[in-house]
Amino acid sequence: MSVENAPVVDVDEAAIPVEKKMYYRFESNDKKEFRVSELAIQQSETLNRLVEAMGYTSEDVENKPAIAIENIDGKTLKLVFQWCEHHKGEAIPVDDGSVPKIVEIPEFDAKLMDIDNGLLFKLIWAADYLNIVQLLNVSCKKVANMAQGKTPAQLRRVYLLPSDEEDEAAKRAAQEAQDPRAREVEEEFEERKRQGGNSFF
Amino acid sequence: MAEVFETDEHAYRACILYEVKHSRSVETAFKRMKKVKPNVEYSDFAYWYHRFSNGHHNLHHDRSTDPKPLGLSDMPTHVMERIVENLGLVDKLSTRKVCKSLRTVIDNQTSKFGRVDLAICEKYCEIHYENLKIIYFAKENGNYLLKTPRKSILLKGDYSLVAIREFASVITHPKWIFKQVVISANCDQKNEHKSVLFLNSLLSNHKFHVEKLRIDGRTFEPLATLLPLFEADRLYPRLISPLDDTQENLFEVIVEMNQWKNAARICIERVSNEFPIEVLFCARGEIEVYDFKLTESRLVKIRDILFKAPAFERFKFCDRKYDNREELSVLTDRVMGAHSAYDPHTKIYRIEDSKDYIQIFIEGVKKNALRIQRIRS
Repeated sequence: MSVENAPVVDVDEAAIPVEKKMYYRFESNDKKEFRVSELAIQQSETLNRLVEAMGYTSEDVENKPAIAIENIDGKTLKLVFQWCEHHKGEAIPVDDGSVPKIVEIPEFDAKLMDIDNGLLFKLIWAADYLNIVQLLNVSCKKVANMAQGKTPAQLRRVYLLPSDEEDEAAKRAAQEAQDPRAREVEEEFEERKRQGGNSFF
Repeated sequence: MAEVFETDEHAYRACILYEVKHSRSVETAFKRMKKVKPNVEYSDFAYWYHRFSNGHHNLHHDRSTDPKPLGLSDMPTHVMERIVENLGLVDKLSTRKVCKSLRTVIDNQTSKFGRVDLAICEKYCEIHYENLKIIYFAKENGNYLLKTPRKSILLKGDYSLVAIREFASVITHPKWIFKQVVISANCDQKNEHKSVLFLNSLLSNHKFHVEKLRIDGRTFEPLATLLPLFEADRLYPRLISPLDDTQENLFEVIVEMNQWKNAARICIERVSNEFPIEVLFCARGEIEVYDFKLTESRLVKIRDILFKAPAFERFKFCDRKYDNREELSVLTDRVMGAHSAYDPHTKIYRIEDSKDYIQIFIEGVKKNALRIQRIRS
């Protein structure tokens, strides 16, 4: 049994009420399977609605195929479910609309998100896709914290963002790649301008 | 030793692998690396740290062959919004210079920030954006030195005009609200006049609502010129002294402004002995003066002018240097008691033809603060 096949968090069986004992099975896009408690699933609005709609019995979750989550890989999904298990039963926060936001990152979350930036962005993407409000809050806060005291140039490196100039150049290159005639037309236009022509046509 | 890490990438990676193998946390390992390779980038360090942690120990791995990792630009707009929602003013100012897409996200988001200050001085200007301080020093040949916590650069231009323009560009941002704005001119009158006119020209098409506002200068010109642009719950004016005719006229204009009359609270640090206190009496909100000599003549003015002012709600005068005066309670009873409307036992002053009355309180540890409050029926 791979690590992912086991429940993501050790569970104190005695502490769980009988009716909450059901574990659903999910499968990532790289075929890693996870067992997640019903209470943990409630942290994800998307998954919660999905399992409610499916109406599985305890036998169904064992006998039917695992529920496929097509666009999230196993590494990311493992983090997502670890977070959900740790925070199961907690109230889902409601946005009060205030900006800047005041978000505290608990110690467990900070350790969970001690990952490279690529995986962190995947985690954010997954939290958004699965609609896990508090995971999205803390992961966005983590990314925002990375901006603290940085220059725009440093931020471009951290966030893997192009500068306006690079962005323009990339757009031009993409446009030209799509339409090879575009560059020829542009060059022809420039040439006519140099020759003093008023109208292109 | 440090040079090895600068020149030999593999030695640097091997060192990270060593840290991973010794189970040091990424923070500890990064701190240790920073000691021997001060310019190490966290993102690069974290990449190798996590790669080695995941069992990929090849020191010769070529990062460019990795699949392109997700970045901020791959996030949906509402996620980008959510990320920038967490940024304070200083980081927003920096982040909006990163690229157009982030600038658009930041500029479309309504945000409420803390305090912004502009201080115009003789040889420099200082701007505070919350806890960030930027100074513009005047230099020779029309140059100025821009000093921030990260850099000092010599640039072309007039230090005060550049600073004022920069400050104005931030506070006029259409989606940004500030709790507290402080504008102070601590320069000669000519410079003060020039700076205030320029700032006014940049701000005059805007209206600002702030919780706290402080505008002060050598004269009342900054307050008289800029106050009409603001709506503030609390005003913190500095009352200048001595008050010549021009300044007295300007102050009379200020106290007639709705911004003065409608402020919920006006807090004044100090009122000089010569200041004609009756000009303060037309405020409708609460006025607090922290350093105010409570003389008999001033108490007479309070009794005969302030008590008859229809808009008056609450005044508090604190006499911090009360040593040479008779006890405030005795003095108050004597002055107020000259009229039959006053009852020294209840410290209530009855208002003629009204059910309202004025309650007087003597407060403070040293019993040196006089609070006067109109109690409405």
